[in-house]
Amino acid sequence: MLAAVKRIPADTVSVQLAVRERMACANGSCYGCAVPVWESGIRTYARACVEGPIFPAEVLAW
Amino acid sequence: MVARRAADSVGSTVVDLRVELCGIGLATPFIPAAGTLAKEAIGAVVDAYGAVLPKTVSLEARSGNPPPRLAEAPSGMVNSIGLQNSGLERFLENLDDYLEYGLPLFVSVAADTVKEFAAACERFANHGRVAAVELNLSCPNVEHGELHFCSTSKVVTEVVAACRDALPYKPLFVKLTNEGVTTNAVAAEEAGADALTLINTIPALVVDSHERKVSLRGGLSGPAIKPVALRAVYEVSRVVRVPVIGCGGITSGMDVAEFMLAGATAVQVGSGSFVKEPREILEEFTTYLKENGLRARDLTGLL
Repeated sequence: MLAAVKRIPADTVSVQLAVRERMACANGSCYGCAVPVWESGIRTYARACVEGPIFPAEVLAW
Repeated sequence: MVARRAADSVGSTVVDLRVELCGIGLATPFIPAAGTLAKEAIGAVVDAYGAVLPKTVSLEARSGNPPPRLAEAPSGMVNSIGLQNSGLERFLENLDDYLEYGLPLFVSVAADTVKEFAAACERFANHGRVAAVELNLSCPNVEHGELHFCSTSKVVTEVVAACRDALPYKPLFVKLTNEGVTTNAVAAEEAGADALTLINTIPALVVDSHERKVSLRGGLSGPAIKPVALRAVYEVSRVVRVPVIGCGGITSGMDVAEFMLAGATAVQVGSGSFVKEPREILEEFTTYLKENGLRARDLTGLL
């Protein structure tokens, strides 16, 4: 469903998405709650617990 | 603050928590296991630790494995993170994040080849703020297909010897997996290791029976592996002369005591810190020492 919301054209409405991931530490330490994101044009992973859990839709690399 | 930690007190009796590891004085025998304490989280828990040990770094940045990276297991967890890190140069640029607490800084390194392992060690060899380097040998050796660096003692000898040459004046810790631990420990010591960290996670698999697929292929940690880790520490510490750092499922002060009695000089706390405050584990350990009239450093091998 979040991926569907992400498809809303960026020029119509600003979309931010809250993601849910499994977490072990919840403080940034374990890198377990990774979500794919674009960072300077490179696909990498961000941590939902500290960089998220809310991401601008265009940052998420789904 | 350091003095308060060094001579912690429970009630009125002062308990001496200090240990010495390869000539480095630690205010407590607790070290965070690599990859379980990020810079964002250190401040809240640092007073329990005797040293800081950040997540494993590699020469080049790694984006890590695709999710899911975690699964719960009975008395533990399975993880497959894939050594996500920003690379060694970025790590060095941000080293101050780990130094503001006044504790010795140990760094954990991993690489795809023996040559890269040595190159990573060389980068830290003359760095004044890095007290010791730990080799994470539980990563795949790309020169030998899927086999990791602990798969044969010959490879352990090769990588440890190369890193020893690259790091002549600093303590070199070698973190081993459980499989073949005694043989590998002896090989690492003979190749120049100054301390052995035992053990890393145990290879594990999680299967999703509904989807009929493998949901996670990773490493098991937590209390589930504690007896295995204790056995490794016990067996190895009887055949090597270098200090052993015990690691695997520590979640209580009694666990710390057990590892030290089995032969460990210090311990690493990893998954346990996700479910319990390290400070609480340290307080339990302090109580144990007080009740037994012992100093932390008296415990090593005291069976």
